[in-house]
Amino acid sequence: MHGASPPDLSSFRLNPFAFPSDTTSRFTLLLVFAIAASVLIWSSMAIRGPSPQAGFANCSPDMNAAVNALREQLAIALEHWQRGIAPPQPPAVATAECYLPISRQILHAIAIGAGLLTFFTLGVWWLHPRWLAWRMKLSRLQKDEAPELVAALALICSEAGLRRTPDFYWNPLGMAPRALAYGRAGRYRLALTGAMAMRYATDPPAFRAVILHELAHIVNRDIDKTWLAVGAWWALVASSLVPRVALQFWIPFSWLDVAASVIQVAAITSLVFVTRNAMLRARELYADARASVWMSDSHAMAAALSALRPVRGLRRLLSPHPDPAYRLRLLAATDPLFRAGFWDLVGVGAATSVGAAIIGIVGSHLGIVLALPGPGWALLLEWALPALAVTPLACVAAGIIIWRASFASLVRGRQPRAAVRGGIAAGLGTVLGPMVVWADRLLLLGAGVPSIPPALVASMATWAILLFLSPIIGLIWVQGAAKTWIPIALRRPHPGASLKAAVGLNCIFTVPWFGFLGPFLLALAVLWVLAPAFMGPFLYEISNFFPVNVLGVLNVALTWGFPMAAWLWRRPLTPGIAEWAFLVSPRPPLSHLILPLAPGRSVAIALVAGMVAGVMLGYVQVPWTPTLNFGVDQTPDTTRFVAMMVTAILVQAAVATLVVFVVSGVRVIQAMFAAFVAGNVLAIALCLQVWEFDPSLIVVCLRASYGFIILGGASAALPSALIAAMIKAGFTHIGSRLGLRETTSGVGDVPVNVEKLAKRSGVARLEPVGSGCRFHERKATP
Amino acid sequence: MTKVVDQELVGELARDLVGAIAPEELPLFTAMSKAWFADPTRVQMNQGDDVLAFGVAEAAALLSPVLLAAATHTLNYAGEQLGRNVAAASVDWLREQLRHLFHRQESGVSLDTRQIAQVRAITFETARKFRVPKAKATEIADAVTARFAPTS
Repeated sequence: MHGASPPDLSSFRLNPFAFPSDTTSRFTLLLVFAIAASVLIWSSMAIRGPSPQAGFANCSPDMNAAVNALREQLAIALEHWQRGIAPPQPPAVATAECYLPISRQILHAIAIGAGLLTFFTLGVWWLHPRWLAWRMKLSRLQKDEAPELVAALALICSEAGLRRTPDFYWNPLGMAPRALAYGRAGRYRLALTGAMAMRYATDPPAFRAVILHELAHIVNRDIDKTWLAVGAWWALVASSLVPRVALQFWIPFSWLDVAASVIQVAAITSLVFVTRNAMLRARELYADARASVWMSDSHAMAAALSALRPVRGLRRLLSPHPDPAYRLRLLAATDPLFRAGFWDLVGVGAATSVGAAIIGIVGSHLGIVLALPGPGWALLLEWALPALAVTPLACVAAGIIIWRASFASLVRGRQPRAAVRGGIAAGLGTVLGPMVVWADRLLLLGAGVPSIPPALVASMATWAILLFLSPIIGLIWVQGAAKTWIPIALRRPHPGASLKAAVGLNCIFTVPWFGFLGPFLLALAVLWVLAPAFMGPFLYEISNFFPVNVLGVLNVALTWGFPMAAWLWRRPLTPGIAEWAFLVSPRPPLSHLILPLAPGRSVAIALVAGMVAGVMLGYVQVPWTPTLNFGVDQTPDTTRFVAMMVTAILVQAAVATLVVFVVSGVRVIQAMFAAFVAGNVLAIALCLQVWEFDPSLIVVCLRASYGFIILGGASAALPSALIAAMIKAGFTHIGSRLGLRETTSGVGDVPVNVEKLAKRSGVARLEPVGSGCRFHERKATP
Repeated sequence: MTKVVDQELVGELARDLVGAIAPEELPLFTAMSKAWFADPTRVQMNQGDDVLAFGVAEAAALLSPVLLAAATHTLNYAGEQLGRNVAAASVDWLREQLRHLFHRQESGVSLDTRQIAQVRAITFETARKFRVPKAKATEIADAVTARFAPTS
């Protein structure tokens, strides 16, 4: 996938504005955490408030005993499902009746908390210009007060190309040199102290650097987010922390209760505080990057940053300002801005699970209060709604981080590697987030207050493992798609629709992975192992059940077709200079980037294998087929039908494995797409064989087998392809160590034959030079 | 301010001092002195929004407010002291003499050694209140004292 030498790190600064910034994603995380904190604190206040057991008095004299009885019943139901038998009748304890008064109380409390949080947050955002004017003792800077200063500011604003110049305010008697951009909803202001204003005459380059940095905040559109973030923090303190502390003096004292409350409140508020400051740090880095583009004199910017107070040790995580040394390093190379930050992804994971849990909690109380009938509503409110509401946000946030990291790696000629580490971080966040938020429960569990049956613990542990693995799989796929689409975007002088559409679609298509397909497939696999008697028929039923079969097949097609679709936009073959990829001139050509797809070969393998296996389907005999319990009547015909379906699934796994060994570039994605193509051929072939006996059965056949073959095939092909890819990578590594490989590009971790690369990229030849290759244009044929 | 000392007088002395100690502040001195006379409580040493502002590590990088405050306090003191000595004189006459005094011109009034020492102490204390480093505060105090010392 690499050819000529990539631009080296020190010479060319990557453009961090090609992708949405960390400021936006961290701001979104902050809002999620602030809302979660408010909901948790107010719901705990509702439970700890006056007469919490009032509702339970109607159905059970002891609230803890009733809750424990409900848990026991759930555990018994789980054990029955595991054995493939129906659970016993619902318990005598009427859950809804018991919980109704408390649920109503909790919902009221949550509504009050959310209302106050919103009111205070918007209040701070709306009133901060007045508050700052009072606190910094600012007045409007008039032209006749300091005409030269006003002229200097106007000149700097014109350099920044602002459509609307901010209003200038100052405190001429401010003795410490400070500058600050603030304001709201498009009406922005720039405040200066007298000490800073004076620098327009004493140190014009430093003055220009500081003012451009502040104007960059306006251009980066982070001012409203900043003040909403500041507002959210203080709103949380005022609307939740203060009432919570006050309540503690009002209710009966218990050491355990106080300790649990302190742990919970400290954990969730720390999460909000740390996220807020992480967002404030990010906005400074992006403002530096923007200002440095406007400054022709990079030394002035460096001098201005050098004068800032250093941020050392643990304060780097807690301070709202980044360390000046780090900011100085970013002036030389913006690459660190593209790194998939481990803690950022932990935050994304935590926000996802905490946000979903909070929505689930509100949904469950709402279901009880509104007395919605049937388990369908409960499933919708407690599971589907949270997943639908939160996973798109998480997918966009995590997806953009991986795209950015992949972009930087590919431009620098490195193999993108952020997905696994990022996936582990997001998975950890997903699992640990709720543990931090509900840290008080751990204390209560330790004290033995609520009892949890072992079956329930086992199912929770299984769920935690699924939650951990799901983002890893999702982000690996995002990275695969980024690897195919970024070279396409980099062939164009402007990223335009190609990049935006690819990132957008990639993030949208990740939703099924994070929210549905990933955890669903993993859950099914685990449950099949745990409870085969129950899961066999269930799997068969669900994969052929409309609309799951149609949506599932569509999902598989989009998941593997989307990265492959990049090949359709491969023209022009010779890459140009992607100016948008770099911040400032000179911008190098990115001739080392070559599309890592060879769909012709993989699709040909899929078609041939599918057709050959399809013809042979009529002759297969799988001896162990009768042991597969899919819940269908076991007759010779149905057993043969099951055997053909299972064969079709196994052939897809074989096709995926073969493709991995035959193609180069993004192998797993090509292998999975090939498996999908083969699966379609096999499904049609199977039903044609049925058609041979009875033409009227073809529709029934497709309905009874298509979804199962495609979804089952994808489930079998994915591990096969991954294992094959690992084996091949191991061989390649050993081969290159032993010197058995031909000349490779050398710039990436996936060695590729340069002759093949030259042929595929439409260039005359690639000449090995040092660690890379020189790029020669093919001469036009007369 | 006493009757004798007005904004013009303080402004004149402070401008002289700024010209001598921090001449780079002269371009904005008029605006700063206007703000000072309008509301001396607007002086801020290291405040502002430190969470969000681009703040250079220097604590107090501006001397004009210090010199305006020092000029106000010393002229008030001098005006009070001299007014006592020449009780019969008119306010305008005394103001004019004070102006001559700190411009080091021939004046009908003068401060004695003890009063000059007090002017120095007042100036030094004022500067220190603004967290001006000792060396700089001494420099300011010396500069102010020199304005009121006899021309000999």
